[in-house]
Amino acid sequence: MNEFVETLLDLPWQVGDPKPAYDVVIIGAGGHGLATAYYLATRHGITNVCVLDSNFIGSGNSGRNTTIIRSNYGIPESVAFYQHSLEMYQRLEDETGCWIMHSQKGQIWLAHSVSTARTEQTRALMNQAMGAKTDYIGPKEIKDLCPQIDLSGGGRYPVHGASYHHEGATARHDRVVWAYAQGALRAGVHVHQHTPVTGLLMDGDRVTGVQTSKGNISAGTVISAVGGNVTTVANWAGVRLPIRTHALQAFVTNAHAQEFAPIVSSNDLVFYVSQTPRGQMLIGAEYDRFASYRQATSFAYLQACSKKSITMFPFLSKLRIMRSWTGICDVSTDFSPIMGDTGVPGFMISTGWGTWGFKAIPAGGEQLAQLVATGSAPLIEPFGLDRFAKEAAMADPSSAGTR
Amino acid sequence: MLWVECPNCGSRPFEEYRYGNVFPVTPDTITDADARNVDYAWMQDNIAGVTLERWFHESGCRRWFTAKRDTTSDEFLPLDD
Amino acid sequence: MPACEPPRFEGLVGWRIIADPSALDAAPWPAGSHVVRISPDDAFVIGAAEPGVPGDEHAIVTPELGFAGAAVSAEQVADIALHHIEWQMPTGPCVAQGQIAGVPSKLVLHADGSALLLVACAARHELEDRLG
Repeated sequence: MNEFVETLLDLPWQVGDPKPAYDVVIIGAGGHGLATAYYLATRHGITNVCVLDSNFIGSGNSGRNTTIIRSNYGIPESVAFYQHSLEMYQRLEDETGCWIMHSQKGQIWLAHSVSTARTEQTRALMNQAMGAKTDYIGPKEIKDLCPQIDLSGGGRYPVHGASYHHEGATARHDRVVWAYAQGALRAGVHVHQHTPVTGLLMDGDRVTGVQTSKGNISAGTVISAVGGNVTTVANWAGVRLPIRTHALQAFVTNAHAQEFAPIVSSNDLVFYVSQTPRGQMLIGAEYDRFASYRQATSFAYLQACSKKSITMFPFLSKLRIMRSWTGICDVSTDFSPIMGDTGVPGFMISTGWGTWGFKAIPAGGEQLAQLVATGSAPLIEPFGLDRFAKEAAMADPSSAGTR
Repeated sequence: MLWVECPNCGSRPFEEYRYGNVFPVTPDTITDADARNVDYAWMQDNIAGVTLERWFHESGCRRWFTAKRDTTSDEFLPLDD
Repeated sequence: MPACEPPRFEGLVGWRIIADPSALDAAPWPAGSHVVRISPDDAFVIGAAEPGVPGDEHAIVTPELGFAGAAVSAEQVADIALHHIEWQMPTGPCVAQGQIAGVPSKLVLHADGSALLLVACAARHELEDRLG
């Protein structure tokens, strides 16, 4: 047993049943749910908070992603939000005292055609305007940053250029979850694992609490931080969501002895590659095109994704796939997150995290906590559920795996 | 491997198909015309269970057809008509 | 290595007909023509002068130059099915459509097991490469 695991054992985990009432009940103890609880307790002194999960903490999409942190999005509001989150990640180890294995690597987003080169140039300019450090670079600089790349793309996908996002980073996913859980628990938040929420308590139009496997809990505010199953929770409150659940698969290879420094994505081929601290090559791509709640991996995906990544990185063909996983993602119809009020009093939501949720954990949690505590969070105001009725959808063509 | 039954061509691997989403159903409880438009344009039933949806056999007969599928298991079920 | 000769494709000249399914079922195809039923309302007709579809006055009949075809022997069909087709091959005579070596293709199967292999002209060389 290592020191880190011993620290976790010392945490004040809740045993027995939850209290009958809390100021705030959060459904879903993934990164977003726990971060929201953490910031409610540490920034706003709201500690009478309970986080519930049907399984263990971080067992949903927080444990089924590719741990990439970046802010090079395609619309100004998103760049501002994700850049804030990226900067919070840079400070998270100092703030929480937990080693989340944050590692700044830089992200290269390849363009293989004139039209995608234009997309990447646009991205760089937009990012710079909104405070994110992104530059457009040419093939020679790409080769310097990532010597393993085949710039000819197997003859079919020659590299025209790329946008280079200097502050692109990765962090260890479960350590992020544990860091927030630890901080929240120490501040007095209750976390009840293996406590499925089975319904909402309603008083007229108002949500007043949750029904759980361990009895009813009343709450001043109920927040859904549920991933792929969010529609079930929203239906209990009669809230219609622009969410469709899709499976997102990813995999790691065996360890590659050479260092692979950056995170590399391709705009035309749609895949991304990075190296884990253990040397494994982590590869992901688009979410499965059809809606599904099944957390299943498919050979067809592994095959397609391997082929695409080997096209740009021939050395990958010498490696073997060791492990693959699938998360079921709450993909919003405009590919941007949805945070804040639902129109139902007492019921707030953090959803639409699709394939871009991990990088948003600090800012999503911080801003939602601020909204609960103060009633105002300007950074996430554009991301409200009411944007669809206001004809102000946040269509973002730069979310990973969406195009 | 996930197999999809095309009514014209028979059972084929799902990569041969394009997914066309479910039939959008706006709830009767939404009565305001604008609200119905917003619901139609953006909202999703996102059913965890049996859905009726459209599939397109892109690599075969290139025709759209209706299929019944359980989204929790990806199992295709016979259409009862 | 493939046990058989790879198929040799040539561009086909024919007619594409979109019409009511029952009208296509009943159409009097010209003698010597070869009809490939792509879907109930869609047929590709080779080896005929412009065919008519009397049962459907709105039928669309248009020259079709988009397919390449190769005559393949029963042995070649068996070889392709073994190495390049994931799905269950039906027994002829019928039209079997789907990916062959990952390329959308059609096999017009005859009763004796031989077939006409059809592929979109744009994908012809890709299929040739993959079968060769």
